[in-house]
Amino acid sequence: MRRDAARAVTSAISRWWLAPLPLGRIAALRVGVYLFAWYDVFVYSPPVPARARVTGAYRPLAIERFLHLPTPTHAFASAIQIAVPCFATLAATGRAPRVFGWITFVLYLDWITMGDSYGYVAHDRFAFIVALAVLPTVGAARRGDLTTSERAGWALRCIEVAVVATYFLSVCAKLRFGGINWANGSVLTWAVLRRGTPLGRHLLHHPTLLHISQWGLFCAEALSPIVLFLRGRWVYVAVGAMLSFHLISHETIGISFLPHVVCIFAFLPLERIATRFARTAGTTPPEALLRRPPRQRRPAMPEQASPAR
Amino acid sequence: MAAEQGVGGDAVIRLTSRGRTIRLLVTVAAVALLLYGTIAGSDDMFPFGPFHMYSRYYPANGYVTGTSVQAVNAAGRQVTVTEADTGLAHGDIEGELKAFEANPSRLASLAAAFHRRHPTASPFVEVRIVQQRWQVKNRKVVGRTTATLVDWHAP
Repeated sequence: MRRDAARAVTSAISRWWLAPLPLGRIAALRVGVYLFAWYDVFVYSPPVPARARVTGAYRPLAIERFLHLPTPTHAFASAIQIAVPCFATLAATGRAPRVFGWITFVLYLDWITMGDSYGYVAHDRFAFIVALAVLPTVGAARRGDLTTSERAGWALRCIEVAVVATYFLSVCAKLRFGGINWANGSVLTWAVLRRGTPLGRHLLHHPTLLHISQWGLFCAEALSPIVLFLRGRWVYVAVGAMLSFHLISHETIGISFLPHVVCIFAFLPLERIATRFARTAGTTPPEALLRRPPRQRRPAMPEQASPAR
Repeated sequence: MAAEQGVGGDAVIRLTSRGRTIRLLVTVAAVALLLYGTIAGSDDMFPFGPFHMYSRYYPANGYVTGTSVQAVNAAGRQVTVTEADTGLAHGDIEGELKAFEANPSRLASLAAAFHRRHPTASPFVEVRIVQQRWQVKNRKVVGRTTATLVDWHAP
């Protein structure tokens, strides 16, 4: 009896995690994720090549010790900085998506592991790393292709879960490190004092608003798993809420979580971008990209006099 | 992989049972690592460590602190050292505060990093990690003091 229940739960989870989704969504997400790599390594990421010069500050993480990776040098970090977006661009074209995708993933993981080995580990790109890890597994995916696939479904679900985990598990960390009273403290006052923008500094005059925001943040993060089960327009509402949250944090304390923000788009039917584009541009209609046999056009002349007449 | 017709008539590509098993095993392993990292792990477990940004408790009444790096250059001017100056971010220095306190000479590497990045600028002859202490009452700032935590002078 109990074994049957366990089996039912396992099978329900596996059905949910592998629910087929359009390949076109993968194709669109690949473009966004891979091209973001340019902005990421040159603007958003920590200045890894510069860090590599502060030799005394290098503290290898477990993964680096496990793989016996050498201490990064300025030249090596600079080479990776160029290689990541170049291979990512090749992956974004959709040609040989597995080869270029895996190379991008390995290079990027090395890049960010090096960057995080100097004392501080941010958690703003867990979903992005997951996206780079799972996108190659889907294989070929054409833009606008509405064919659904379990490979695409698994990859997209992994990215969605990683996005939600970033919120939900950060509540767990707040309980672990800050305790049950975290939201009644003054963490946002501290955040604004430490790195507030001019707009954010205004909030220092409104401590009650900061207090309410702490509770709002705590509750929203704790309830975030709901997003995984929404349908229809509620998905757009949830995506809007997540994007607004990151916009507000950026405007007040200068933290944008941009790589994570790119992954939030995995919740949306991105495959429709290509379909809409195709319609406006008057090129191949989306229907033609389906793997259904195309409708045969009958010759106009011979069978005009059909029996129905 | 097998293709079949889905509910709406569109094609559905199914996974092979091997593909399915591999994916589910990888998923279970990653989720387990992530949960372990959250409950008992540390930054060392990257990328599966706890998501601890802004997770500490700061009292609504009492003191909250923040650190910054100050330096004095050979021309005698005091400057605030930023990430652009040395490559090390605020968070990196805060994360390694204990190591800097145990061994103040590590601040020499910041001076060296600055000099390499800005060879024509006046070099740092003194580097300090300074802590700001803000007194808060009901989350409102009512006072501020500054203390030097670590100090390094060029030999």
